[in-house]
Amino acid sequence: MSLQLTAVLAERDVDVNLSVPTGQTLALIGHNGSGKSTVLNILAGLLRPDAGEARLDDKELFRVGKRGVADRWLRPHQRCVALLAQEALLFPHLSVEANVEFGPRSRGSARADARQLAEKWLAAVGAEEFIGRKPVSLSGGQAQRVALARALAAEPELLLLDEPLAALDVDSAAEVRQTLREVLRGRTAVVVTHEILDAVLLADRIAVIDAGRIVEEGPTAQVIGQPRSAFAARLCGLNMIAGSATAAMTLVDEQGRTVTGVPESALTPGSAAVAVFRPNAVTVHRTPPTGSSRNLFTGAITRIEPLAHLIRVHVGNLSADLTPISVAELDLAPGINVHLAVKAAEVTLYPK
Amino acid sequence: MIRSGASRLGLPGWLFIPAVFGGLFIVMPLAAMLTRVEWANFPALITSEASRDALVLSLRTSLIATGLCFLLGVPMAVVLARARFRGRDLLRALVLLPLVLPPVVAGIALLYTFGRRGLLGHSLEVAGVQVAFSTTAVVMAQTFVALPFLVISVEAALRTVGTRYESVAATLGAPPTIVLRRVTLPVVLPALISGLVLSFARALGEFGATITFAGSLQGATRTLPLEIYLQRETDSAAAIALSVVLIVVAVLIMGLTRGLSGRTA
Repeated sequence: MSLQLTAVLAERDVDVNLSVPTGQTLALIGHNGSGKSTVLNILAGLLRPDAGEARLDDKELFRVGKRGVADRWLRPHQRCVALLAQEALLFPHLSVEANVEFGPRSRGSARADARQLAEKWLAAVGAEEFIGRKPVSLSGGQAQRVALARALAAEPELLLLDEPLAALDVDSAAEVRQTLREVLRGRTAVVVTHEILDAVLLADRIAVIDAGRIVEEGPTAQVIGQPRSAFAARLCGLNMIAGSATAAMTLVDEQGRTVTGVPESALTPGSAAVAVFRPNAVTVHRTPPTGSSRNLFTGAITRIEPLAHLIRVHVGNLSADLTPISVAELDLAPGINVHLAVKAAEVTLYPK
Repeated sequence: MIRSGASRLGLPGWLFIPAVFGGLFIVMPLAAMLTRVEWANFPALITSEASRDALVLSLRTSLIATGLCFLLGVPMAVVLARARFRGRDLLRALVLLPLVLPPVVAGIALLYTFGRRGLLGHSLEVAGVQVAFSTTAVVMAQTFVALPFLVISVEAALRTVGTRYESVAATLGAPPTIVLRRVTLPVVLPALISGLVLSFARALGEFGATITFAGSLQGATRTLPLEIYLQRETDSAAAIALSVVLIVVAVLIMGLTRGLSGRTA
């Protein structure tokens, strides 16, 4: 099942256009309030856009004309689109088994068939031992597995996942992520997340949404390796400076900062371009360093935060990863003016 | 719920004084009445023909009224909580009006709707149906005053729960009727039960609207509260005995609800 969607919803300032090829998983990433969940709700039929259309292969989910009149509108239960939310939302009055059987039973399956499906999918997500339990007796991770089995037992043609791991603790998130990896293989799905790990491990493609618009879309490796939007870069832990090219190997941004680097393909002077470099390639100095092949940026430290064994120092929208001992030697603290240096060889330039 | 062993918040000591007075205010009159019961004659008093008629009529009409509250009130609650339409807030206020309306006013309103000269009563009479001053009128009066209790209880629960479970059910392929039956109503079952119990209790105690709209005819419209009121003037011992019966019924209902909602919650 391949998915095509275009939708405009003025009330939430959302105007998106995206597609998911058959059997692939698309990660939709963006800030809170960027419109990610709105997109899922439109696909599930829980929200009606002002205009747009969506189709799953030949099946038209909806088509809303320019004047907001729905020429075609499948109701949520007619779409074969299952939605797994951040919270498991298991029906509290039903047993785990009855929860998973809910989809098949609602579509008229016989009791025995529904039971078989429930057992199959509970086993597939590693939750078969909970079959006779009540949802209140399950932990967050267990409940989310059961919710996943329930969504899969409905045999959806499209699976929507809205930050499915966000409400779980680190350990159960890792386990459920692994389960998701297995069940998403070969399945057409859209997963909303702001966790780079989810996108890397679960998705074939990434779409970056910002202020209700898709600002970047492509295969996972490409978007992560060569992010073109500030959000994607920050998500991947990369520094990014966007501006316009002044020569084949340099660009200048709005603040007048010049960046020299290695272009992925030659830049055309005057065209939009981005420079991307890793925080661990950045060195921090209290006095301007010397050296010809270096890009220099000056500013006050805005924030200092721990990052695994390193310390990440933020200067505006740029960051540098330092060892704790360097931070101590340089006596860094927020508010102190510093010079950031990065070798041109460490900077990659992309046309935008 | 705070269990023993859990930490307790300190309360200001003076709070206990008005609280104890309030409790006494409720318990003392009941105790005072119990001291006046003629226990020797009690069985005879509550099994006299008039008493039995009133008790049976009260239970029968209150049960039917509760059933009507369920059939009409649940759809009203769902529509008020879930449907979107213009004037919904106004409609909600109107529907809850019987809660604050003096029952005698409700009786008069019913009389001028379904009575012989009422808005619909005349047409009904032409059709050969006479409503006022019949057992049907008793049920209608009880339903009128009891319905808002069910609606308010179920509607509030539906709003609190929100539509999230229903959305999930729909995306799993359940059409609206199945969602209503298998998700919406079961999720608010405790509120539904307590709403039904409140409605039954209100119907059982109904007096003003009944006497205005249905009158007081033994075996047909004279319910237990009416019987108690009439007996009070001629035979106060019988009135007290019947009051005790109503209290016992009320206590039984409360116990039953506790048990039911305890199991479902």
